[in-house]
Amino acid sequence: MRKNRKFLYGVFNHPDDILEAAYALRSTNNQILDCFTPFAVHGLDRAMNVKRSRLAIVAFLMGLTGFILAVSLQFYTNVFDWPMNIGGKPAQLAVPTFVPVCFELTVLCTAYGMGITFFLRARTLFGVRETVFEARQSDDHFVMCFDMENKSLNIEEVSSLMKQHGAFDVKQVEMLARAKK
Amino acid sequence: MYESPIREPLVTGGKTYHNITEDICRPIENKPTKAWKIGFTISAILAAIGVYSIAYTSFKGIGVWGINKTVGWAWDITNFVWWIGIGHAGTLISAILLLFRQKWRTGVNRSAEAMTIFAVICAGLFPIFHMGRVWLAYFVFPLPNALGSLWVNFNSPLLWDVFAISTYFSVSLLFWYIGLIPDIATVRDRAVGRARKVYGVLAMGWNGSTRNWARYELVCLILAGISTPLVLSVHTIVSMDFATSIVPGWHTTIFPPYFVAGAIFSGFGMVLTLLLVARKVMNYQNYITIGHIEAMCKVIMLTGSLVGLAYITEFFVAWYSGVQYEQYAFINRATGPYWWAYWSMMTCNVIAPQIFWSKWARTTPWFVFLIAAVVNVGMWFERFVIIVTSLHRDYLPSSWIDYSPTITEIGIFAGTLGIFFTCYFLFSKFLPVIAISEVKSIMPVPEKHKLKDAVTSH
Repeated sequence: MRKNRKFLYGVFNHPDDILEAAYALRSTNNQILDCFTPFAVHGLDRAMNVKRSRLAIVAFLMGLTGFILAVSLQFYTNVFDWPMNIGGKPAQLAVPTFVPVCFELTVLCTAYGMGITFFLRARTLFGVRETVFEARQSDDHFVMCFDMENKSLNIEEVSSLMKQHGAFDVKQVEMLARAKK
Repeated sequence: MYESPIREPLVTGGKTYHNITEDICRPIENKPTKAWKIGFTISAILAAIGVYSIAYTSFKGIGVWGINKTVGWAWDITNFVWWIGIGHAGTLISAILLLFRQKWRTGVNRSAEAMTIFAVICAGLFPIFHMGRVWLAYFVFPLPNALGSLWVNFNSPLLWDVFAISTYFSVSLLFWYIGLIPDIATVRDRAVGRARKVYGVLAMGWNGSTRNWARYELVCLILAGISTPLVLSVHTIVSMDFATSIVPGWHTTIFPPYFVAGAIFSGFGMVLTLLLVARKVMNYQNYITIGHIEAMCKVIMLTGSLVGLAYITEFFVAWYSGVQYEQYAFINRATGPYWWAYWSMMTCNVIAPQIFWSKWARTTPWFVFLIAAVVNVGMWFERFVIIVTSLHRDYLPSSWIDYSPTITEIGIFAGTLGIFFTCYFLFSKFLPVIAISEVKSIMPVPEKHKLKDAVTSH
């Protein structure tokens, strides 16, 4: 549900600063809601205790689906429904010639199955409104964001910790945003 | 973060993150330059010639082409294989070099991937319009139909091609678009008015959240992992269109690796042709550095040598096989009516790239541009030699015939060049041609004091 929510956020201008701040916050009781960075800051996900994505499993299952699809399609059309007799050779199950199409459909289903799951899971779809705290969060600013409705959040502590680690701005804002836990 | 005391930095000029955003968004945000307008107009005119020639072919039938009963595949399949090959460099850069952790690829991968997509579009036009009755082109897919149980033949390499090329195009498009999303978001966050709305839709609500970055990187890695065998399979299957036949000169097991090496060779030729112009016109010398050009020249030299080795192996095997038809096919290539095509191919593909052993040659942009153009011409001749010279001397001397293209065929080829460059010009105007977020993640870490200005100017 979309509703107005209050956020506390700090703005950094160096990837190392936000990383240090995230690690420093681990020892406190304050939960980081999310960080918004212009590029993938490696290690930040670990500092925030983000679970490893299961998209790889999705990719595997989709690939398997594609493979089964390709085998069934070729078996049904060329072996079962209309067996093809080429040069009088037994064409009942021409396994080697079925390999290329099996491979291509496996790749196609893996890519699109995983891609579409990624779009759904990351909620990146045509027409989705973006949550932008700072216009330059996709340029050169690194935003660390906290949910102010979170009872265990110690605003004083978080603000001072972020400032101590190089945040040049700490702000509170009330905005329309998706509830993301 | 990437900084090595030994290696040259991949982004020069002491850029900050903000500088990178500014530099790469500038062509999108400013009015098109004069050079862009001239280039776009010329490309669009060529594309229009292509559209006319294609329409003419569709209305009149493929009798307006120079092909005949003996040389049934000629100019069109030459161009098809040439364009597909060009596309391969894009996937090599974006997928294979990602798996090899070659960080220099970030400066060039976006353009190269775009090139892949446009090249595959151009390639696809040829087999589709060679069908003659193009409105029945959907018959290549295994669709249930009312003609009994008329299914496609899965034993045929031509059908494998349908699956390979359509998969390759679809996966490349997805890979390219997922890579573009964060950069479109950057453009969106800087834009105002209508542009903001359009880029807002295209960016799909991307906000750079850490959770999404983690997923994004995983998706890109897996896509790279599956694109790597995919790109190799595509040209392997293209080569099987020839290799599974019994035509002397085509019927060889060396074709798959030989075609893949040739594809990467010609693809890098085209990447260099495009990027050397783009870096000059758009002032991207700090992102596409001499180091990048040198690395690509080395790939050209390597694959050029592989292709040369394949030519010699083919000749040797023809002699060693003891089959007189096979031997004739190769002697006829070098000394027959199309000797000029064969020797153009040899000069452009085998001899010319060897100049890159010299460091001066690899690091002088105008000279690299020249050699890249030569490579593209040479690879076009390679396909022409393989296809036309193998076919024009049949087993029966009574079927021997020569082939020359008609103006319509030339028009279609010129048209695909036009379509390709028109697409590239549009891409370079409306989308970031360098992967902003990826370049930021590999640049030398900016000193903190430099970032002070970024804060105060805010």
